[in-house]
Amino acid sequence: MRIRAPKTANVDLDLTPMIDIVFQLIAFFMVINNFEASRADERVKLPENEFAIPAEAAPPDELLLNLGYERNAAGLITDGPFLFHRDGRSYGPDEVPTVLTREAKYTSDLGGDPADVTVTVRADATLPTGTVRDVIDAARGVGYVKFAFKATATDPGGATP
Amino acid sequence: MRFGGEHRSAQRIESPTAALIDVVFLLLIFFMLTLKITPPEGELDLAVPASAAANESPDPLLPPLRVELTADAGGGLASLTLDGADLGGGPDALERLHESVVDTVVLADGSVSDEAAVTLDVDERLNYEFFVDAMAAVRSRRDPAGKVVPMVETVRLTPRG
Repeated sequence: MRIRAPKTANVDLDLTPMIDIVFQLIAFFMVINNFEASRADERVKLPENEFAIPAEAAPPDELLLNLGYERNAAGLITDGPFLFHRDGRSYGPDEVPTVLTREAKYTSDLGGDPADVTVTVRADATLPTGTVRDVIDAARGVGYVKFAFKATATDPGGATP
Repeated sequence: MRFGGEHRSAQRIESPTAALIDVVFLLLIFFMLTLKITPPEGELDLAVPASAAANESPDPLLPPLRVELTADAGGGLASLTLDGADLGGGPDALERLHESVVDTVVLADGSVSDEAAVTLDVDERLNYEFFVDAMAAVRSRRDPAGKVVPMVETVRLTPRG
């Protein structure tokens, strides 16, 4: 008696729905990933305000200044205040005018005008206002005139439609 | 001529999806790991002319409202005055400031006078959050529908002594 070898079962998994779902998940995470916020320095604890309106579009030319303190794991201030600059370094108040002069010169060298650049200040809520004004005055001294102050929007839905 | 014995079976074209799924899952993991839930940030704008002379309009029909904020030893808001009228201290004072400015500059038809201007005289020791709160209190208001709309466009800082 001959025993036939059993036919190998050909099981085909339909992967199409899974790929659909995974692509939708990727699209979801890409959309909600706020790449703009990655420029923000987490050491800066912004003040909160209900009237702060999220900007519809970032200004074409922007200089972002993160002003805050070094804090420990418990959130207590250990050092500062500092300007946490985009070059990765922390500058003390005395060095801020030098940094701003360098930024203004960089803008001018590229053919731009510092007066057209919006200086966006992200300052810690507990920073003395005098320190922020020092930075504003230093920026004015090198030609910046437009300023925007960031605050955490506690009512982002209340923006102008 | 018979072709009976030459059944042409349907040709199945299988594309290898394993590599695609690998990449898609890697993308999914990347976006999940880099996801940072951050609260939305709003902005408050301030134009600070480069020269102090340009900071003052030549002949305002409506004199600017003068808001003075004084700090206590810890940087808190000790007192707040509007054109010399004491509005008290603490967060309630900012509410009163907002209501007073709305009463002063918003006309009967709901519009705001173009001449409306506010000068902020801020104590250097005051915590930055109160400066932002005061600026927001005079710059913005809510319309009857609850949306945030601009109020006083011209906000100036007093020159430093």
